[in-house]
Amino acid sequence: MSERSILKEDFLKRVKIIVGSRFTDDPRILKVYSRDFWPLLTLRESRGDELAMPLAVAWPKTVEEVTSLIKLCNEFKIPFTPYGGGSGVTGAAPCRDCLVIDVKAMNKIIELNEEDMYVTVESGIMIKKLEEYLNSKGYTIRHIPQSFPEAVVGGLIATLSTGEYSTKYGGIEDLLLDIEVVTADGGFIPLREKIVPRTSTGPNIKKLMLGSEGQLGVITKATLKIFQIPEYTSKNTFVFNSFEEALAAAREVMLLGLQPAVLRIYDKDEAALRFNEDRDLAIFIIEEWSKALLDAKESELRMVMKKRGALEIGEEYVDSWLKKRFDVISDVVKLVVPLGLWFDTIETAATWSILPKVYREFKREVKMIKGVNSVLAHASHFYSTGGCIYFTIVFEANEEVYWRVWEKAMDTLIKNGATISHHHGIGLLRKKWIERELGESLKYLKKIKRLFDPNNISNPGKFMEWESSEA
Amino acid sequence: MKLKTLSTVKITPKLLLNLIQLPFKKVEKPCIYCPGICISVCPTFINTGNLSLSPLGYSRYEDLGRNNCLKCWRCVSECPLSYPLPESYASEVKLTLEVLKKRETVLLSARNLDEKYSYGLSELLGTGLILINGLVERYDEGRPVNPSSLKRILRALKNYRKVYTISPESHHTLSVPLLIENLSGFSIRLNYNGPIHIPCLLLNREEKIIQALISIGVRPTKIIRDQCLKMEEPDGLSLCPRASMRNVKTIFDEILASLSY
Repeated sequence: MSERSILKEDFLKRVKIIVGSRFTDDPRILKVYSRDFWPLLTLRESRGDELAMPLAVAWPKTVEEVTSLIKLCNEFKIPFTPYGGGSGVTGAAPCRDCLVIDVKAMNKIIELNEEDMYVTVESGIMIKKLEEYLNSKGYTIRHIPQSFPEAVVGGLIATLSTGEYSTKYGGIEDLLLDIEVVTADGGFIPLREKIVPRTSTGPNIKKLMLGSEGQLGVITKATLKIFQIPEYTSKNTFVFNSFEEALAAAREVMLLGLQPAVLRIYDKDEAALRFNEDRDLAIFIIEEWSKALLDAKESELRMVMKKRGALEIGEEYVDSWLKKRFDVISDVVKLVVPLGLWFDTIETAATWSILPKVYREFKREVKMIKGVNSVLAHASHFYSTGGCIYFTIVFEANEEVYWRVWEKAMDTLIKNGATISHHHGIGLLRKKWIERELGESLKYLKKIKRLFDPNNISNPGKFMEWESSEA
Repeated sequence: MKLKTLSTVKITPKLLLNLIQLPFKKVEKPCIYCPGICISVCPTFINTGNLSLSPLGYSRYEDLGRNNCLKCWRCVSECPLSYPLPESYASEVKLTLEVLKKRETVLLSARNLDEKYSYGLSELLGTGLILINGLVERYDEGRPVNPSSLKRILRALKNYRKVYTISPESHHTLSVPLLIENLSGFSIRLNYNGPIHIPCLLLNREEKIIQALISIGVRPTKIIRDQCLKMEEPDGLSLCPRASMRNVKTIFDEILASLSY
C-alpha cells in the first residue's frame, strides 16, 4: 500500500472517531456528492462521464465536531469542502478528493426573537423548513430563490444569494445580522453575545463569508432578520410595447419608492414559453402591512403604467408563475433533453443607463453563436440604481457549444459594463473571468484566503486560490 | 409544444428531425436532471441530511432505493412530473382478488396490511369482504403494479354497489373510497379527543378526512402530517392499519370498540 493510501486510511479512521457512524466513503454516496446543479455537470452525468469524486462525506452535528474535522484536515493536509443543499449552479461545492463536510445534520432553530425580529439558526437548516417554521408563528424571512425546495442557509450565505422577493426584502447580505464560523485554519469566530442593528467597530470580518463559497471555512450558525407576514397583497400584470419600455417603467417604479415585493419583466420570447404569450410583460406583487400603504402603492403603480401606455391584464400570469416557479425540470425533461438540446442560465446586473444595451447586445451576440437555438430573458431583482437580467440559453447538447456560449456571454457583459454574476456566484464556472471583473481586489481576496487558509485546504481550486508567485 | 414557444427557437434541420420524433422520445430517469425539488418531504433525507438517502440517491442507485426508501410516495406529490420513483426499484407485481364474502356493499382488505381490522369490521358492519393480494409488495418492495391485473381488479369492483377500504394503500392504488370518510353512513359515533396522524398516502385528502371525522364526534386537537410511520411511531391516533404493527392505537381500534359496545 502506498504512503498516500496509508495516510488516507489513517485520516478516515480519525474522521470516524470524530463523527462516529455519521461518515461514509461508499462510492455510491460519493457520486451523489460529486455534483451540484451546475448544468455542465448534469450534462456530463447524463452522458455517463465520471465526475470529480470526493474522498468521504461526514455529517457533523456540532460546531465542536466541525472544528475537530477541520483541524484534522489541516494536520493531514487533506482538503475539505462545506456542502449544503447542492443546489448551486456553478460547480462551487463539488471538490475532488475532499472531505465533504455536509452541514445538514446541524439544522436546529436556536432562537426566535419576536421583539427584536430575528432568528438564529444552525447553517444546515433548509430555507424551506425555516420559512415554514416562521410562517407557523406569523413571520417570514421572505428569502425565496428558485432553489427554495433544496437550499440551506449556510449555502445561501456562501453564494451571496438573492430571492424572488429581494426587491423589497433585500438579498441575503441585507438579511444577515451575524454569523458563526469555523475558519479554514481550525479557528472559531462565535456569534456576538448580543445582536445590534448597526455598529461602527471596524471592518466586519464575518461579512467575508458572504460569497466565500466555502473557501474560508465553514459557516455553522447565522442570525437573520425576519418580518411579519404582510397582510395585504396586490397582484397584477402589465403588457408593454417592448422590453426596454418595461425597464423604463421599472425604473420609475423604483424611484417612486414603490418597492414591489416581486417585479419580473419577461421579454416576448420568454413570455411565450412561460405564459404562451408573445408580448413583453411585467408581473407585479405588492405586499404591505398596512391597507393604506398598499392602496397608495397600487394607485401610484397604475398611474405610472398608464402614463407608459402599458396594458393592465390582471392576476392570471402572476398566479401561474407562483404555481410553477420552482419547477426547473418539466421543460428540461419534456423538451430540452428529448430534442438533443441543453441549457444554462446567465444572470447579470447593470445600471439603468446601460441595462437596455446589455439586453440587446447579449441576445444578439449569443444568438449568433453556432449551435445556439434560443436566448430568453427576464429582468427581476431591482434597485434604485438598476436591475438584474436573467438569460436562459438553449443550445445543442455539447461542451464545445457550452463554452462558446459562456465565452461570448462573459465577454459581452464585461465589455458593456455589466457584472459577470448577479447572484449565482463564481464556482468553477466563472473562475476564468473573475479577474477581469475584480481587478486588483482579487489579489487582496487571495491574500485574505491565504490568511484564513494557510494550508490551502478549504474548497481548493476555486477562485480565491493563490498561486505561489502571488504570495 | 406550443406554436408561440416554437417561434422563439432557431430551427435547424437536426432540431426539426428531433421535433418530429418528440412524441416518441421519453426521458427514462428524470431525477438526474433535478436538484431535488422533492427532498424536503423525504423522511429519510430529513432524518439524516444525507442527499443519497433521498430521491437524488434512490434514483441513481436502485439498491439504495430498494433498501432505504420508505415508499411513502410523498416525493411523487412534490414532483412536477409526478415521477413514480417509489415503484421503480423492482419488477412488476400482479394484483389478484379473492371474494371471501359476497354482499352488495363490500369492505376491501389488503393482504398482510389490514386483515387484523377488516375481517372484524366486515362482520360488525354487515358488509361483504374482498381480499386483494399484491398491494403490500408495491409499497414495501417498490414494485409497479401490472397494468392488466389492475384493470381486471377495477372491472371486478364495478360489480358491487359500494366498496370501501381501510388501507391507504388500497385507496392509493385502486381509488377505492375510504371507510373513515363514510362512517356516518354506518351510524358510527366516536368519542375521541386528541391528536390525529394523517398517513403519507392520504395527505391530499386531509381536509375531507378531518371533516368526516368531526361529523361523527371526533375532536382533533392537533393534526400530525410530517411523520411516516414506516420510520417512527406517530404521535396521536393513526388512521393507518399498519400502525398496529408498531402497537400504536388506530382509529379502527376505536371503531371496533364502539361497534362491539
